[in-house]
Amino acid sequence: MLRFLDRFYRVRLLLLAVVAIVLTLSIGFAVSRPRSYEAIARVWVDTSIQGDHATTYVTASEVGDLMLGELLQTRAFCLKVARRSQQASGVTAAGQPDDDQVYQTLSTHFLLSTAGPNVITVSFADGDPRRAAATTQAVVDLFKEQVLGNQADGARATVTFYQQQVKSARDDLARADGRIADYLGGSGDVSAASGYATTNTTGGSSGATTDVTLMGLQRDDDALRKRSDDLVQKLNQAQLDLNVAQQSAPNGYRVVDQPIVPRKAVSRTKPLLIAGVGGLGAGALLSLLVLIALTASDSSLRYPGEVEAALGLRLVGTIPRFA
Amino acid sequence: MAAEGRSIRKAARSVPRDPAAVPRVMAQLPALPPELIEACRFASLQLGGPRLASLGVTSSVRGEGRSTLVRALAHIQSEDYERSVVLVDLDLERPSLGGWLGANGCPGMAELAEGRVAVDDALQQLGGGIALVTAGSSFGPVARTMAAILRSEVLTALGERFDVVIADLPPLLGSGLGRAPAGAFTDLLLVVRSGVTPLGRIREATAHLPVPPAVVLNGTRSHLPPWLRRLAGC
Repeated sequence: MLRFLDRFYRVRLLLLAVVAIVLTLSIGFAVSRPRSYEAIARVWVDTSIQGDHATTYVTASEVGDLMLGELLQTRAFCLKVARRSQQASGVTAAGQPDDDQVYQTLSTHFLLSTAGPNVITVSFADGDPRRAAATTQAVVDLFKEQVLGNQADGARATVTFYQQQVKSARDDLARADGRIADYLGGSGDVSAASGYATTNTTGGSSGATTDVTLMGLQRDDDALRKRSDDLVQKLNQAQLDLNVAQQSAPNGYRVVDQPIVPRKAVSRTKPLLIAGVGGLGAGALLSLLVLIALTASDSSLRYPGEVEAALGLRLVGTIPRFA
Repeated sequence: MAAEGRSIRKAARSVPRDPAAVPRVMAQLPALPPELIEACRFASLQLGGPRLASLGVTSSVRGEGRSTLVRALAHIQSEDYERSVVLVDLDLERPSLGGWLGANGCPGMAELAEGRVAVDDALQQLGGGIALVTAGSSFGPVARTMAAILRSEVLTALGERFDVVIADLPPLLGSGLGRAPAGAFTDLLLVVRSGVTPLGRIREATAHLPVPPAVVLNGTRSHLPPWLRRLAGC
């Protein structure tokens, strides 16, 4: 420990120089970075964007944040955003970055946060203000389309389901009608059979048996008719939902603040502070490593107490260094 | 060779014990820093103080401060104990003591060992009761000259003539002659430059010495601030 401290005080200027160099490089790097412009959009969402799996444990904005975050981790979504952004802004990235670069940039540079239970904040920083705004707009639009698409898909699946159910119920109803008609001797007049059954319910034993059978058939027919009517009603509701979902604005989704082209660049205070603190930390760590390496590599004798311990020889004196 | 040794011993004994009778080369030694003298005083006491008779000062490698320490120890023996001191430069490969003290390089130990001069001719008085025998210049290989010095009685003769013999020995490593003269002295002092000489080199140097040397740590300097030194007790 004493050697360590002694070495520290001996080479303190070197260690300070290491810290200063790393700090300078770090701040220099931060300063040399191009100014960036940040475009911000705020989107209002409600629980309907969760579809039929709504949960009370998370807020709508958290769900939206998670959904958008997941989408931004997909290559296809990022490439769509890039294409739309390029079309909208007319600004092409320098050097025509490949798909991987686009994906890397977009998946890491977007910042998502929740501003409350229903509001998601989407922000994107870029060296070109128009591209920043266009990219943010593209993300908001594509997210809207995704929500809309999800809702439409859900409604379409519901319509298809009810269509099948209605068809099945109608077939059952037709079969029940056929059974009544057969029972009445192939007249096919169900309403006449109904009137006949009603007028003969108080007849003899043979007529009573016939009436009971007919009544059973009619009860089944009524139940199937009611089920068919209910399903038709639900099918109508599902078709209504599908029509709503196929409109341009999704249910439970609204852009509150459209992204605008930023006029002022993002403040450099925060990056500079981060670079300063990071540079100091990295410099201190590097200095510590240098100090450890220097101390470890020094196998000379420095202190009187080390002589006997290291050599087993008698120390008779020390002569200080004179300037 | 035995006859040569006897002639040298005879020559040495023929010199009077009065150091003042030795020819004086310099009126005064170049001054050493008082702090250095003070630091060496403790080391001198640890080595025997007034009872010190024969001391070889060596180091692991060159540049550790042997010659400075030799001078300081000689000064202390002369000033503090009023003893007659002879400095002997046995670093035959790279002699420096004579030049540093402003003495003549020849004749010296090489000439004495080869029987070319008498002891009186090789001794140079530096003042303050301190005499010097430089390394001299040998005709043949220095290893042979060193062997001749060790075989001869020159060092014994000088020991009989002066109260204390202090020799500047060659470094133990980097020179083939390092360990050979170490056995000729009753006390051996190893100078270690603080913070410079690697421990492995020191161990290697002291591994096969005939006498375990005492150690002087030269050039110690703590960079700790005073308050931390007080706290650490160093």
